[in-house]
Amino acid sequence: MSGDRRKPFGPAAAAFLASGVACLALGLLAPVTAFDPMPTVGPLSAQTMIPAAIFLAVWKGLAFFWKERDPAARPVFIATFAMIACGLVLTFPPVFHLF
Amino acid sequence: MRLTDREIWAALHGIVFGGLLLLGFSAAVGGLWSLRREHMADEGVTIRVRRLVNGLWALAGFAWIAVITGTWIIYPWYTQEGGAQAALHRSPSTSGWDTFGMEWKAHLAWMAPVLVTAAAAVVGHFRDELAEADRRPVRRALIALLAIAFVATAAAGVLGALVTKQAAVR
Repeated sequence: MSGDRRKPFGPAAAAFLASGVACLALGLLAPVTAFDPMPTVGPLSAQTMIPAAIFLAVWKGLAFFWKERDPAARPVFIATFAMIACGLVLTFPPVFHLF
Repeated sequence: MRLTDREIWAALHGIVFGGLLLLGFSAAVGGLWSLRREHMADEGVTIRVRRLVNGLWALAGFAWIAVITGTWIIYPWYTQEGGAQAALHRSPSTSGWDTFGMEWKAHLAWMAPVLVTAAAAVVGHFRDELAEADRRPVRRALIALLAIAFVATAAAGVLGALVTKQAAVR
């Protein structure tokens, strides 16, 4: 790699953070049953399609703005894994049935 | 000995795509764990990274296919009137397989494609540079991401198998 320009962390940070946001969205939407765009599937369609769309939007959006940026890695990792942990807890039925 | 169309879809969803996904995790984590410039020549790094990138995108594809077939093809059969969900709710001793087992599985499983896609994108971005010593934190974070995706896939797979054992989609 000597002599090569180092790649910026921005596009990687975008993918990490987008995965965290999507997992958090999965958890937050798990108790939401009011939105039912596909009756054959039920509320699960919105509960899963919306986080998937959020993942793509956040990933591509942040990657565009951070294409040449080099944000600090540590806060990105902490935020990503904190959001994933919250998502895991919120998708646990005894937790989301409380809401 | 005969499988219905629905049983074939369920097998494709859980055994083929879910199974390939579970098998692939160990290869991906092993590849990332041993990806260190000090342990191999430049050409070796390039070959390993190419294999890792292709493998991770394939895994991401399996994960998306598994959750999409599960949610949009099999789940409507599960919830239809007189289907497996209704059968589970006929007895208080089995209703938990739906209110806990299927509810958790259906949401948890969707974390896997998101996490594996993110991992594939990160490895694809850094490529050979990921083997450098100062990219070790990124490699560790990727391994953690894949480990969580593995746990989510395994939990969803086990719950799916147990729910199917109680009341199969036919």
